[in-house]
Amino acid sequence: MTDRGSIQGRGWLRAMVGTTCVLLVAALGVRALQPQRVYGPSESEAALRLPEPLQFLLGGASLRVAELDEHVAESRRERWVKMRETVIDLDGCPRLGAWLDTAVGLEFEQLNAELVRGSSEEALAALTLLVALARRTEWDSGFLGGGEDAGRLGGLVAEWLIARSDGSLEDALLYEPALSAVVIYGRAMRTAYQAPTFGRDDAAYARARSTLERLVGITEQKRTNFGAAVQARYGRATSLLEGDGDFLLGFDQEARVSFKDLDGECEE
Amino acid sequence: MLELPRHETRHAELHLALACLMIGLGGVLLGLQVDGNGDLVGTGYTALGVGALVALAASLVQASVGGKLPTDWVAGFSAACGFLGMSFCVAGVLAPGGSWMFFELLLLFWLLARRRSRSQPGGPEITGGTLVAMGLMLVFRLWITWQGSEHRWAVMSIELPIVSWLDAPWLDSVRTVNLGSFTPTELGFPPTGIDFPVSMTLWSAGFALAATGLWMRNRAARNHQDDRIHALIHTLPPGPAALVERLVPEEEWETLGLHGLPIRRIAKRLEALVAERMQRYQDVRSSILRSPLAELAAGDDFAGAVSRALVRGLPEETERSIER
Repeated sequence: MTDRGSIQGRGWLRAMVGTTCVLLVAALGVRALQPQRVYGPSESEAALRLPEPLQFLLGGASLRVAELDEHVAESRRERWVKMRETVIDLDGCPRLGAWLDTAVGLEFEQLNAELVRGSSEEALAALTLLVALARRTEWDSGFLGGGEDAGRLGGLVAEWLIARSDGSLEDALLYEPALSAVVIYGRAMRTAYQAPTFGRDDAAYARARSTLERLVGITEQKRTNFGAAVQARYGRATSLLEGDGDFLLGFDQEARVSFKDLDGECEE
Repeated sequence: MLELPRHETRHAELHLALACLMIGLGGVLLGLQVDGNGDLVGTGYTALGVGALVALAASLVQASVGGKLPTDWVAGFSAACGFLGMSFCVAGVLAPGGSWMFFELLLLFWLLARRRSRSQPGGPEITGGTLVAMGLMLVFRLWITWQGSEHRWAVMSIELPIVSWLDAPWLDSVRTVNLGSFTPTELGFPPTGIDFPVSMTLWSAGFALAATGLWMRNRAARNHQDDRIHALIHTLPPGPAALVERLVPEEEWETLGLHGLPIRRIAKRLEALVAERMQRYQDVRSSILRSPLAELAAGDDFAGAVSRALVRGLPEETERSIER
């Protein structure tokens, strides 16, 4: 005796079974779908001349900063060399705002503004100088406030980002430094926001919000191309931008990991 | 050679195919989530692997009761869909990682891999109670996913009175007490976060489809077995077929162990059952004829009522002879 399959000859049943088979395979296959990857730019000639550009922003930057000399335009090279020596050798841990208000500080800001708008190498030199200054000055907040120093640091980083963030997506030399500049900006502005002993500095918060809206795009719908790159690198920090709470928290936390010594407390 | 008429098993097969289709569609939806960029991203294989492990344990334990394997490819296909459906459902409701997952896993093992009192020839089965428990687990998963999508990395946060009212940054770390914390990695979130409303809809619809498909498959698998037996009986001429169905009624087929047997063995078993029941009927009839039922049937008490019922159960001529 046999129990021959009664499915044979019934098209509709075959179609359902066939569709089910396809769906079962799809159910297994879709689980492997990976999130879209964002790749950085390919290695450029400039990046090959200055490999590992992120090192210029890290603790050992002073060991490599002289490499940038030959890449700065001749017209401002002398001022650059003088300024980087001044910043690297800065003693006494002055408050950042107070130092910027000195004659040297004013010259620093002028040179920085020129470098930001120069070549890729000069933009890297500008950011290097800025981060070096942040390491050798105080900009953290104390019990009696002090958020304006952090706010000024944030302003200088924002200026750099506004000028170079979009171009960095195609520039292997500036890609990593630009992504890092965002978390440094978040760190500085959160320090400014939390500086008051009681209450918060809502003006700094609003300033940071509008800057990040422009650079990154707070909501997913308004995310910029640079924002997509930031999101791919610092996903959690970027997703926190949309949260109800402190939207700078994520970038601050990333900065604490990547730039542990960049906390506004200068050490001699 | 005995062939079953095709039309006899059509409805159960249709229900089985529909149930399997729902399981497949549910599996697809449970395998997807939408990330922060609005792109579809897979939910990964970790939870599915755990689900398959639970389904395997459930299949082995449940199969050990009857030890029957699928007898035709319809039943085989249905059993495979049941296994995959159970894997999809378990994977869909489990917390995606961390210690939560293992607590839920223990509970699901207990619920699904318990020994059943009857054999399940159609593969692993899920009871209604287990589906309710899995539904509650899905609610828990959706809750923690929602918490994560709002960047609250705990099952619950309780704000401390007084401290939480003060607007001072240095109190941030002690404003709330978090109960049951977890991480984005444990939740299996894509790097760009998760679009909770769309993902929740996908998972809820997927679970509803897969769970309904499993429940339908349980019933349809039993109906398919009944249809096979019915089709076999109706290979007899109409008179004997009706008699066999009266002697061995459909309600008893499963408890008599006819489900899941090959047709040849069902035929043998039916032959034995018909012979046994006819023999019993003859024995009862002989006993009645030897009993003083006519005297007892005259009374109005319990014995009289029972005797009259026994006499009424006999063929008419026998009944008249007893009454005489």
